[in-house]
Amino acid sequence: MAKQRNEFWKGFWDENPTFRLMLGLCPTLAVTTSLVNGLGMGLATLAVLLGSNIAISLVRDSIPSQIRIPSFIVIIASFVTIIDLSMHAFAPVLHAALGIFVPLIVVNCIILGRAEAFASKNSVWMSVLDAIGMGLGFTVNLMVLGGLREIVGSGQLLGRPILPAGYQPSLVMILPPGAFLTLGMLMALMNLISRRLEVRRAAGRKELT
Amino acid sequence: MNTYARLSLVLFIICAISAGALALADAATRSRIRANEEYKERILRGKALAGEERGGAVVFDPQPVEIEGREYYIGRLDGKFAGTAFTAVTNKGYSGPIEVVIAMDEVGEKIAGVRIKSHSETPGLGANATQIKYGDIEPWFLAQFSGKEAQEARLKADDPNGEIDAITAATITSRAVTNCVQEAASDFSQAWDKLKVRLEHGETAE
Amino acid sequence: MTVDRELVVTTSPHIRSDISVNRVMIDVLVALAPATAAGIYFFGFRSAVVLAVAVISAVVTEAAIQRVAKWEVAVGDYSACVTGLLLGMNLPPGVPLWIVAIGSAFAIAIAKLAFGGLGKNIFNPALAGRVMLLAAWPVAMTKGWLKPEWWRQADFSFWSWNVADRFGISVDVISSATPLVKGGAQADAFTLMDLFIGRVGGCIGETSALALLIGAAYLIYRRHIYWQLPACFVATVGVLVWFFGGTGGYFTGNFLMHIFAGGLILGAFFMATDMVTSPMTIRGQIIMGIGCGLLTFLVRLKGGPPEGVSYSILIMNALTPLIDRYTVPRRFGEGVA
Repeated sequence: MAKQRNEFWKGFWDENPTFRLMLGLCPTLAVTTSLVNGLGMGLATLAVLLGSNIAISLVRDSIPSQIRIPSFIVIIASFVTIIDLSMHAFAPVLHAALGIFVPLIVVNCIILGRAEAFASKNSVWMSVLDAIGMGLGFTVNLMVLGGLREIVGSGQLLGRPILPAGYQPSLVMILPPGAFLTLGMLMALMNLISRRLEVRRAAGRKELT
Repeated sequence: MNTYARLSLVLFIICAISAGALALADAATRSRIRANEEYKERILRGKALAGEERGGAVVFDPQPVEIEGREYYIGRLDGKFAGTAFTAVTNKGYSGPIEVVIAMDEVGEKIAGVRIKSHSETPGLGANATQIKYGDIEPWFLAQFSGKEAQEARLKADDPNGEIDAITAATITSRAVTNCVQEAASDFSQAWDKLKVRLEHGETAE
Repeated sequence: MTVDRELVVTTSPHIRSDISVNRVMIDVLVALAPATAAGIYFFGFRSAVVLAVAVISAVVTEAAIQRVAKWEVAVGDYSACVTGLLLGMNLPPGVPLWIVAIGSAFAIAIAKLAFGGLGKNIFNPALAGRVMLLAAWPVAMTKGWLKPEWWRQADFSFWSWNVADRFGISVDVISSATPLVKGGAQADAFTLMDLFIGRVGGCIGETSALALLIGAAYLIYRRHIYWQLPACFVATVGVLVWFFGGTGGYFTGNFLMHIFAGGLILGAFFMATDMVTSPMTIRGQIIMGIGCGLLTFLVRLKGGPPEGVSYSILIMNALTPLIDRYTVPRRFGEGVA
């Protein structure tokens, strides 16, 4: 049970796809101009990740290792196209906002990375946990980035003004440089917290001995 | 079995299953996607013609009238002819072409309204052309065109007769859209003569 | 006594100079003084406050971060002062003061200290701050232009404060203050002499080519900068504009206007030559100068924004490590042709 809990939670902090593994930065930087976009992109990626992890885990024993990468890509691309078509059909507004970045989930390294590093070596149940943990971790990242950028860059959250009327939005935050700045600062913050935790843990260990 | 044949077979099976899945997904979504696209276009034309709230109520004749390479959509409100909508493109935008939907009123003289179909302007600056301020109903920049004559559709900064305020810090986008509307609306009078004849003979209903 | 000296053994470098960061920065401040004075004269007391806020914010940010991060507090080397002053000189005189403070803090905190501090930054901090401000608050940053010597008009004095509000000038007119603007309303008429002395609208420290050149001459005399880089920069812009910039065909461009207008002189002599972010060899500096000139020309004549000096210098900053790599001087006796 501890292992399962670990496979689920690692995606949020220890192996956080964006801030720790530095994977999937292209959609992370490109679409997080608002909270809603971040949420939509995160959930789309989660859906693809879940599908591909399950499928790859199911067939992992019948795929010869020489052709595993093309097989993974075909499976991932199919799921991405299915998600793309469904979004176009059932969530046209979100589909228009995310634009080219939905089809580009194919080349999102998180998905191929999890397929190669996890789903092809673990059971279906573990792969599901891994996909949900990683996917939700990614979604939370995108929402934090998108939310921060939306608040600072346009003074709004979910399209509603939340800051006092005198606030002059800092446009740079919803332009591409703002994505890099926010990402860098969040990463620095995360490293700082990790380091503090590490120091505290080391101190705790010393007391025990 | 030969290794290569086995590898090919496995890959083939995976591709075949994927192709099948994609075919199913496509069949399940195709009509819905097309309906979405058509709906989007129709709503945009409707909003250009009758404004944000009544846009959905405008009924367009299924076939546009083509005059000199441009397609004119005949819009009707409550069964009565309400105006014409058509699309114009300008390349003078800040970062790419801007597709503008322009609607002319039922006598073919004044601009009924303008909407932007697609653009790639800077978020927060030029992209504010389509902005609807919180609490407002109409997009404030585009709403300025409604009820204007063609020659009034000029930026105040460019022309003493102009009636259009530019978007702050996005003069290039504002000028591109405004001049595009002005040119298209001026050209419309020629097309209007032919359109009128057709409308009177009821030919457009075919 | 000479016997002792002969026995001293040291590792290289053997040639020492008494130049310190401190000394260089003081010289740069001295060199900037004429242009600062000219800017304050033309744009009034308000521009002096803008400069002061920029400097204070830079110094305070540097001291605060270095204290919190428990580094050595290096405010005493005046480099933060120079960054703040240069940033202030690159801002419109009527810009809101909170924007100035944020820009200075950004320049120091992100563009300088986040990269490891003085000597390790890739981009010129002052320019990075300015470009960030331009991207963040384009409206405020293009609204604060003032006419030179506006304070001589009736109802105003040198000490007048809310100038932009009281002029009530619309954004469109004011954003065309710089003579380089494309399309739309034209700026007021000015002569080349006005441009040279600085009697035109623009950023606080960029308008007076004369004052800037006096300061630059001092820096070249003190050997803190070499003339090759700025000369190549200015010459490239001039020649290209002369070739392609005219409306009546080739060789009709108004190159003098393009050289003295906008931020070219300030950028070429004081920003591009920044020791940290420009190539080390003369050959590399010539390459950088030509590159900057080419990019500036492209932005000015073909790009969206009216002025491109800041962007071109920042782009060439990014290329500096590469230039340095390909212009390593041949070691003595190595690879003789």
